Amino acid sequence: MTSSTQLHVGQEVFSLSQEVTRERIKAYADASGDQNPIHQDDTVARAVGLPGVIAHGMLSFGLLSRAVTDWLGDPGRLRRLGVRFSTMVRPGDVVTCKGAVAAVDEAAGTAMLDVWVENQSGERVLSHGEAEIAL
Amino acid sequence: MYALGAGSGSLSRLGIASARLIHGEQEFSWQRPLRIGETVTAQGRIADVYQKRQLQFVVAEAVVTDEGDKEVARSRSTILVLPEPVNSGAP
Repeated sequence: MTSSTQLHVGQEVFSLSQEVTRERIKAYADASGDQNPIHQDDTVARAVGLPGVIAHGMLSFGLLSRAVTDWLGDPGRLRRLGVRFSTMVRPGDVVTCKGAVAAVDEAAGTAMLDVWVENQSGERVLSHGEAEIAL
Repeated sequence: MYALGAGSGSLSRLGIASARLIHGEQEFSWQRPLRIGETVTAQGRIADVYQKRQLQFVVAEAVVTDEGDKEVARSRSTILVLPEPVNSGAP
């Protein structure tokens, strides 16, 4: 990534778009061990009031976390990452992970990023996101 | 991510159908990267339970420690518990 002196508040630091497919949701279920049927079985999902299967929130969280660490270069510099799961992600949605600099604390050697994930309609599926990074 | 089981995983083991659990918020913090071969322990607890409209919210926290009992990571999950589906008796 760029050196800390080049970071300024408001600067967009990454933007990464990806499609969330049924295959990817299944792969996430297998990798994480989260076999909750609302992510793989439309009938079960509809029975609990969902429009059909939805992606795991943590799949989007993982994509966001990857976007941050790819930008950082060294994953060890990501100190904290928190989000709210605001909107469901359905198979076929294209999600974009974005990050912008919210604050830089040179003395503490840290920076805060506003981070979020939005869908193809511009709705935030992960909102109120904050990442603390080491400079 | 090894700390996540302390959230929705534990609630499923308490007998709440996993289809009724919705992940509302998640935060992780990390003190340092882990090395291959290390043994870590995740200790989970229910930090808060509250009701908002028809939904129950459960806040689960997990602290992950290394062999020297030092914190290496922490997880805080907010999970929404959907009401039990009403069986209408219809086919």
